[in-house]
Amino acid sequence: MSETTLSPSSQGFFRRFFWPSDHKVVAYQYFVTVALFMALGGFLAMLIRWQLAYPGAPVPLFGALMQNHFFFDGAGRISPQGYLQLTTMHGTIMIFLVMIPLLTGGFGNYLIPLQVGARDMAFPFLNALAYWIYLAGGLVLFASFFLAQGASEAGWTAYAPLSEVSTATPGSGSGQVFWLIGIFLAGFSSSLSGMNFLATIAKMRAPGMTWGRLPMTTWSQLVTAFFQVLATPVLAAAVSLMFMDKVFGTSFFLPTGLHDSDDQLIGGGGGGHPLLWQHLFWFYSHPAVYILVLPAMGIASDLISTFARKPLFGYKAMVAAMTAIMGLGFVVWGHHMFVSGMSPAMATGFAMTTLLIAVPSGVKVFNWLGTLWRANIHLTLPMLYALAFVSMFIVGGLSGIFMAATPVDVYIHDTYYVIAHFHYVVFGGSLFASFGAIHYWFPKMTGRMMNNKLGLAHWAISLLAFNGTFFPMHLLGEGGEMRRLATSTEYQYLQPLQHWNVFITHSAFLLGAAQFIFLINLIYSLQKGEKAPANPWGANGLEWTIPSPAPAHNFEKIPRVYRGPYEYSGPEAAKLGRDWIAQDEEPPR
Amino acid sequence: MSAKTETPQRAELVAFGMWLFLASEAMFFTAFFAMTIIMRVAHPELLAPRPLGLGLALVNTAVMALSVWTMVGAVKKARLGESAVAARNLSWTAVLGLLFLGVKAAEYAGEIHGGKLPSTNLFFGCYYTLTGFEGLHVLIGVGVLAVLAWRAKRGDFHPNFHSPVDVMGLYWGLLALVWVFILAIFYIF
Repeated sequence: MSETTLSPSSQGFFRRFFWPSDHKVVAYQYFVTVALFMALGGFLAMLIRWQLAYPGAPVPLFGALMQNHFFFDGAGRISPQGYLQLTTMHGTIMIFLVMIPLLTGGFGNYLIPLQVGARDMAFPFLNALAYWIYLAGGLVLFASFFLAQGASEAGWTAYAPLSEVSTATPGSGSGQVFWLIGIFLAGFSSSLSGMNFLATIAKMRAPGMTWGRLPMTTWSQLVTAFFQVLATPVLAAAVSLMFMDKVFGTSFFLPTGLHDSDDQLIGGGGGGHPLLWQHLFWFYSHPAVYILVLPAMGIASDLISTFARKPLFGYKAMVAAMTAIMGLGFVVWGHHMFVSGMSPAMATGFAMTTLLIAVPSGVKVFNWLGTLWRANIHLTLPMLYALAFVSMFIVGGLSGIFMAATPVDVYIHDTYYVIAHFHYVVFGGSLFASFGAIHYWFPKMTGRMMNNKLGLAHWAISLLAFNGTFFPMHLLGEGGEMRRLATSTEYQYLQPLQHWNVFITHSAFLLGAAQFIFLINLIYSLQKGEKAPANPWGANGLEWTIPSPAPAHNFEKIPRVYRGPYEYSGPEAAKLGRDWIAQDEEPPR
Repeated sequence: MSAKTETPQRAELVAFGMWLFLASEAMFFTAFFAMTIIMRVAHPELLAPRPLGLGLALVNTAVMALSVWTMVGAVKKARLGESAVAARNLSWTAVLGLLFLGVKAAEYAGEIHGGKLPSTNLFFGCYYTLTGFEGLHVLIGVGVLAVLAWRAKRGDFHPNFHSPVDVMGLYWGLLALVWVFILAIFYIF
């Protein structure tokens, strides 16, 4: 795309919003779509919680509205199959359609060109295409709810042979095929984004923007993009193989001699390996965990340094840590499979690499604490969310170390302990960092500030309700409650723990309700928010040197960069009589 | 008329993007090849006697080699600005791609006629999956080649704008490489 086609005013409405050549418009497309899928995924979570607290009770309102449809039986109760659809699709939607597109498609698209000092992504056409492929994947997954047999029920991990055998459960029929197509498309979109991000960061940095001067958000997107380019295709291969099994009758993941309940032989030639699915799936899906958290780590680093008014502690160590996480991230997938009967030698290897990955993660945590140490901390809303991210990430990181140890994992595998762990990382970690990012960059996106009081209420209630929801899950897990279990009250040994399930459900409803405060704040601030200056936070990054909202194609003149993004309260800034100095300001004499 | 031009930096950027795409394609095919090797180690009995004839595969190897040659010619000529010659080379590459698919289809027909289906056993499962995805890539390539040939005929490519043909050359190279692996794993070893 040549520079001459870049005038937005010459583009019609259709061109601007359906095939945008502006990375910021693509980012808005992702934000809006992600918000809709998040609402859907959150609604599914609420239904899951209802069932776990009040198993067998009709769901108020929705049960009556959707009797005999979707997840409900004739009495408006959640059916056993319906429950499995809920858990499967909640996980699938939140990971593939919400968190990955939010962190990469949303924040990556919006921030990378602004932070490296470029007018757009390297390949704007590809960028627009990636969004539409993501949406197509999302719509295929959404459509699967409306199939006669319902959506997939095999869990977001889609383990064979449950996902493979069409007669195993209704959702393993066409619902599973839709799931495979949807995941393929979402993954393909993610790979294309990753290529675009890598090319943009590697080749389109403004003059003077050396590797050592990149903001941490962009660094984290670069590392994440490696996963998107190199790990996601393996998921594409895995779902292609399962598609072959289901549609063309191959038996890659079906063992010899598998019989169904009518004693019919399943799977033609047989000889396949159900564990091969797990290997291929986790070869992608463990790196996907880092796709989910690395961008949040980058965002938190930017926020913490800005509001500590202090240079980021250990910039190089931060980059090294992320690179180490990337390298190790490719060789830890087996820790999801400790109970699969793998050889103890393999399990030990995977346990070691997994424990090792805690070291760079710890380096990052200590660097954030080092940045905060004796700093002039400004407790703005973005900072509060960033601090929530660090705190919750520590809890999620520590419970991860428990599971890295094979003997412990064998005990807590597939229990609520695991659910607690990854919600602490992905919700408490990545989503809180995302809220921080929205409050931080909202002025740049819209030209208005977000409302402080509403924001504070959202932050406080969310943080409280989040911990009320997910902390007790550690206890349930240790007590032996398995994930994906619809009616734990049927097990005598779990009955004494049922009061926790009721407590969790009430907390979860509060957590869900708190998100409406965020929604109200968003709508209110868009309309009535205080007008934002170009640089409301006194931050150094290039995105703060241009007007708010950021104009189409960002920079009138490509900036020249003189320093890193974290030179707060330094001697150069002091010469200007303030505690910040933009990356492209000429050195003061 | 002002012909479209690009800076050398832009051409380099486009090539860089294609290399990233090829890296992801390599991971995609590597997963299949790795699985094929694992399955073969687990089930050596599937290979006795050798289940595939070499004849048509060798024909296709020759077709693929020839198409790489015409593709390289197209890249060279586009860079020199000999757009008409590049158009001819691109068209020939597309035709050879179609021929490759035709030969593959004939091979499939023979195998299916002989009762060898994807569901027959794991060997044929792997075989149809890998050759099928290779064929799909060739088919997409043929489509892009046709568009590029039309653009070259229109005179779009010249020394200051040729990156679309360059990256098509890279993509076609990957397809040839994948075919070499398919030939080795399914037909020879």
